[in-house]
Amino acid sequence: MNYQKLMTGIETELKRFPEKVRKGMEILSSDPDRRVGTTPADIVYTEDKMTLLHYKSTVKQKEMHPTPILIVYALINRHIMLDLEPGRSFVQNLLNAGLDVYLIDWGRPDAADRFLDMGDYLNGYLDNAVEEIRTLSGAQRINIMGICMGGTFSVIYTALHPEKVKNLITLATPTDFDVEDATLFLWAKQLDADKIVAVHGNLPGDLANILYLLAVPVDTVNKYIQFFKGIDNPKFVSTFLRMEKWIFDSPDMSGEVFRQYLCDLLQKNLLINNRFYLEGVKVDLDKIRCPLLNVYGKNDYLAPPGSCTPLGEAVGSTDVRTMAVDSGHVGIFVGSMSYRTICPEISDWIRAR
Amino acid sequence: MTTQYSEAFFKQFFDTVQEAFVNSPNAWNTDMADRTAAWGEQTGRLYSQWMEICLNAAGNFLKDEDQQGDLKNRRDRNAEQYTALYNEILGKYLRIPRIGLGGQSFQEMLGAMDAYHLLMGSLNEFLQAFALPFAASLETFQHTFGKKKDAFENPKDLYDAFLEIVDQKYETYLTSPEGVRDVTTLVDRYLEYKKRLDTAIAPLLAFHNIPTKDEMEEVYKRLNSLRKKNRKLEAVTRKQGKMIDALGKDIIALKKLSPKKGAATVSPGRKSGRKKKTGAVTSKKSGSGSTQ
Repeated sequence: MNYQKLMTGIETELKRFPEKVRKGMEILSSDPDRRVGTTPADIVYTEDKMTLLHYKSTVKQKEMHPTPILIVYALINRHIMLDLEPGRSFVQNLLNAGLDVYLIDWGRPDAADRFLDMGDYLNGYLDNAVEEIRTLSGAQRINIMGICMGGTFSVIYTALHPEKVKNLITLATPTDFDVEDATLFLWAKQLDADKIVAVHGNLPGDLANILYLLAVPVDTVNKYIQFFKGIDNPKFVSTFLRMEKWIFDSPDMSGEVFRQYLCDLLQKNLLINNRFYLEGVKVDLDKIRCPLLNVYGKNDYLAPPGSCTPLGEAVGSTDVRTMAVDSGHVGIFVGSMSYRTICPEISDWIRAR
Repeated sequence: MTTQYSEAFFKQFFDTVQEAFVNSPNAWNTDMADRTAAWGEQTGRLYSQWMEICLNAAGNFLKDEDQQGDLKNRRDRNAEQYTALYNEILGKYLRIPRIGLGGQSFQEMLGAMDAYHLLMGSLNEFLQAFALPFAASLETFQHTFGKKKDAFENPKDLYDAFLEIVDQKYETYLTSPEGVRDVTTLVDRYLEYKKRLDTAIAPLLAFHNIPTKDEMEEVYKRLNSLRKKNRKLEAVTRKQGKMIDALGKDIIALKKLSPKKGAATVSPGRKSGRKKKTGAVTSKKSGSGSTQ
């Protein structure tokens, strides 16, 4: 009985398919809106290729939380994922919750930035951005929200400059890299960072992207099959194109940062074991005494749960909340669950502190 | 010996050509024909000599006199010998660098092509290995579907079941030691190719006065060290700026706390003494101060 039903279903789908594709072609040829990062923001600080954005508040001054929050994005891909489109924007949700949001846009490193190391990024760009926010807002300490690799950066920064951080929020942030089931980590352990840097200077964004996509081949292909499901829906097509733009917009990563990240963190796993040194200073996670909110996706293949959860135990803070969400890597920032659950949770957590 | 031959060869060649031009177009006579023939003979001898030298050089290359030397060293040595010969015989007349690719560059180009073929081979191997989980998934799926035909109510269920199988197979492969090895070997071969290509291209860039990758890296390294120094100086400046601000605030606070002029409790003697101390330089200031 079911078999007959199944065959009928397949027949119906196949009959519908040409019409769907025709409509889809119409939508695609009408140049659908695929602008990203449209939430208004002021550029308040620039240094080399780094830009500090200050988003315009959407609530009244008196409703705004007094402590600003700085979003530290990864050096992989761009921050546009956090502000994908009006109505589907992580940043907008934080603004609507009354937070004073700043974000670092790392820019696009070129060959001249090949020797920039983690010290330049953390003790240089990030610290200068924090200083600028402190000056602009008058706050002695600010909230820092790190995302993915940006989260790892935020953890290191907080350990080195605890006096400047009020609350630390890490989203999909790997800190323990000795995880058995993580495809990318397993590959990374075998890669020759010196050779990559010697040959390319910087880590080419395209090379990194190919490896990310190759790590989940089924998801990569399935995405395009699923695209046909909603191809006749203009809004769906627009969102899909925006996501594609984000995925394939991969700036190169500075060679020295990549070398340090791969060798010291991914391969030697120094950070979580408190054996990582930045510019000669030991990064002791025990020095993180501020409240920590650690959010991770249960199905995240880029930052698997096993790589995120040990942070809670490693820090010296007594106020730690670890939050597991039913999503993958991107689902934490994009999607209804992100806007309905994760953003309010974050803003409530900050407001309570 | 080689030099003598080459000098004789060129002298005779240029003399003959010059004379031919001077006397042309109607000066072709028997004497000239004889001399041209002699020149031809001489040319033949020189050519033999040249080939002998080349064969000697090649012989040294093939003999492997240096048992410790690897193939690259021998190639380099061979290229050096050819270049020396070229400079000795032709270079001094033409006064230009070697035309076209040098022997070493040629070897490097061949090396890059070699690396490219290795990369392609590796890519083919990888694609073959990468296709296997999919083939295995199809087999598993057919088996499952054959057994549970009635388990799927609609195309979505069917598709999801297939996806689950494929996903599992690929995860198993990509996290297995073979999968990790296949991916990293492919990346390594790609890097090797790129490295060899850069090496082969470098002499061409240098020949055209375009900075090579290594030369630019030196510039970038220096630039970065300057950036670091600048960052440290900025940090010091910022720190001192803050100190100055703090001191400025302290001064303002102290000024507010200090008694106003006219209501001073200090003795007139001490006040006048201070004026004296500041002297002429501050007399104008103190004058303007008194009007305030």
